[in-house]
Amino acid sequence: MRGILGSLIAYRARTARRSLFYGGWAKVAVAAIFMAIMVAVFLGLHWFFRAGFERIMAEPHVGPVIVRYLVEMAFASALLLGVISFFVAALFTLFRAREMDLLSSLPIGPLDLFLYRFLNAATFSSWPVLFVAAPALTALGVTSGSGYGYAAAAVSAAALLILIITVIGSVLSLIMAETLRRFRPMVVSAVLLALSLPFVALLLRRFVNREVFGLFEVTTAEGQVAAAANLQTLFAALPSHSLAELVLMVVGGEPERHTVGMALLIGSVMLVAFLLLIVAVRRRYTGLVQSYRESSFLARPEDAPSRHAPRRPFPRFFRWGHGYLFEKDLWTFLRSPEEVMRGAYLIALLALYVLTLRLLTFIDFFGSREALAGVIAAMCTVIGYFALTISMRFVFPSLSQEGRGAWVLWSSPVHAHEYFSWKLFFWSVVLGVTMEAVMAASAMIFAFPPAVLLLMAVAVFLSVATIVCITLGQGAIFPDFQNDNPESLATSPAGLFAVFLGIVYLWIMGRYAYRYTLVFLSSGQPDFVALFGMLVVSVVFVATYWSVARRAMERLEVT
Amino acid sequence: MANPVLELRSVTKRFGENPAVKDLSLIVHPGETYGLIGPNGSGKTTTIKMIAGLYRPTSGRILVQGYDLEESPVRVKSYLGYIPDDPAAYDRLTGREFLEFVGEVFGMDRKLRDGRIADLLEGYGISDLAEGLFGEFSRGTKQKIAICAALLHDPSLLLIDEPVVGLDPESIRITKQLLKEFTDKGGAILMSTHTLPVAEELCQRFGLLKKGKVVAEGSKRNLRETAGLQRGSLEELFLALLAE
Repeated sequence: MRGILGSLIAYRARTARRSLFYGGWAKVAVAAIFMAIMVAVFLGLHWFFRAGFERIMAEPHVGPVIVRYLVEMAFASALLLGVISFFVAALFTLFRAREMDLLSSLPIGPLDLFLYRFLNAATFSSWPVLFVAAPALTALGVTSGSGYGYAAAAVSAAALLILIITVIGSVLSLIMAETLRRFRPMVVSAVLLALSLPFVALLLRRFVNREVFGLFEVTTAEGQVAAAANLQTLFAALPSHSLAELVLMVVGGEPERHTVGMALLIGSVMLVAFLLLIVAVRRRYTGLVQSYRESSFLARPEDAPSRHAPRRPFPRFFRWGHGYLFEKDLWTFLRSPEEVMRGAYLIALLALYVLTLRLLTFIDFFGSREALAGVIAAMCTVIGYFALTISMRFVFPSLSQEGRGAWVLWSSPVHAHEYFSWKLFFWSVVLGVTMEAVMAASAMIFAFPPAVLLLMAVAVFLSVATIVCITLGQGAIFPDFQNDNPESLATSPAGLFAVFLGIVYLWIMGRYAYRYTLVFLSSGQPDFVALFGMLVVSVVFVATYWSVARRAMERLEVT
Repeated sequence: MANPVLELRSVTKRFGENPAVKDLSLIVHPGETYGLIGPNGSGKTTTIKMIAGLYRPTSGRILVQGYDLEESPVRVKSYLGYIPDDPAAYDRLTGREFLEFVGEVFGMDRKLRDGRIADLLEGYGISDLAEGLFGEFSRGTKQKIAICAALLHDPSLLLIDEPVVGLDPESIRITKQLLKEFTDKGGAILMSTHTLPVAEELCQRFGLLKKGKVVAEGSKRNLRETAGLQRGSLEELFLALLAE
């Protein structure tokens, strides 16, 4: 007897297998490509950490201190990203999943129901462990030549990290669900924002500052011991600290140390998990699932209660031209909790990127012009890549997401090319402003000269407009009105091709940015040929997609 | 007779090798309600979707107020009001916002638009309900909002795919009244329906489609002659003609 939970998981696995293998060769190919990409990313990160560890470990005294910091940071980052990811995934897998209507009506206990959805959310949120902590751990094991003892410790640490992430994430999502049931979403969002800003500031002050990096200026054995002790104190408050300690103990050959700390950690995680399952889940989970209809934030649109009448007629803000087309998308976005959470998550990733840049300023790695040119080109490319990621999530599926309501626009007297142009314009402005802000923050952190600032501003502007045109165009050429899942749309063959084209374009732009910076650093003069090259490449991409997509939209059939 | 509002000339639509509509020709005049009837899969919805600009005909011409849909799609669509068989729209807009959006799409004066929306919503008695999100509405309320949206800009031709599905008896009465008022003012309606009593009450002429072809066309009297029956309801004529 495998029990209800086992049956539910088996059903889920069978459904996934069916949808993959009955989806035809294209779906299998896409899945295979994704697997290959994930393996490549893992191996790339492993190689990156390994090269870093090899170089760092060769440094006397300071080497072990930096290794300690990196391992602590790897665990702490994976913990933070994992908890945020679980929190975002959990609100919708635990409370809003469509199948909950059916499952809630079946004789399934709240514990089985929760565990079933919990495993779903845990799977979604384990990626930081796989792509942040695991590559660092494997690299450290290989570099330090550790044996089976290390492997066992690393696997245990990773498994415990996943458990800690899911337990903290579950507690937070249950608290959030309760809070959203009692208070207006706007109030909750405002309080959350007000609390998160000082929290982020506190994290920055504590973990990323000049004093911390001062710990790495170690030249003696005594200094090494003192710096290690300081780092231990610094990370001691985080639940990830004991896991990092476990790994470092084995590498350092001191397995008997810190056993009390580990025991305390495991004990407290188990206690919280027990309380979560017995008290919170048994008493509250089913009630929360049933009452999610009472909250317009947690509810699906068809279940939500009515709202108050808007004070101003539609369109409220974009009252000129075809601004109503954008405003419709804007309200659809703002009233969709999933979309808002995903948008916030992407913004958080952008903030993390800026934070990483701040971290780089503490390390003197601009040893040569080539290195500096490489960093600036990489910054332009990374910002462009962020634009590509956001575009794939929001711009590429935007046409298909008209979905069953596509008849409204396609039976109306709006030229297809007007529709395309306005979407292109608005998304370019929204993404352009966001990315230029990130660029400005990056440039301020590094205090780049005006000529470099000009390059970055131009590169970001052209990249955003071109990326939006490529993704919007590709979405217009291959719309799928039957599919309203943006993730599934973005990972369709058409979506992956848009990603491929976007990456090719960004690579070309990166090459021009590198050339421009190198010329500027050598001669002190801006390289206008490189800027012109950027312009020409962008215009070619935009013009091609503009004409093909417009024609495709005019010939489009709304099935 | 006045120029036709709608004219289909030998329109054919194929999906791959399968013909959904074959060589279809029909005319709808101002003030007339034309009913497309036929079994499932006979090509009724495909025909209406072609006229609405959602499907492209494989061959043939579609003319609205004398303008070719292929040559002047935007002008043609400005004459149309369309009520689909599935009145799904934007779940995260309120019913009123959706109507205001439609008014914007058709370039209506905002003052005129708001007055017209108020009248139409009042007609169905759903002014308060329309402040809720579209996604929350029942099938019937969505249908009422879709009817309001189609009538909002005062079109010349109304394309209706199943006009009364999901509506309660009172709403059916109001809908029939609205459609009659629309044709009384010179508007034309092309309606596809399985609800034959409603078609019988509203339509002056019918086109019976079977496997994408018109097998009988004309007034009820013409259909009786074709079927060789002295009397009988539209349902009886429908069954008799399809049995042939």
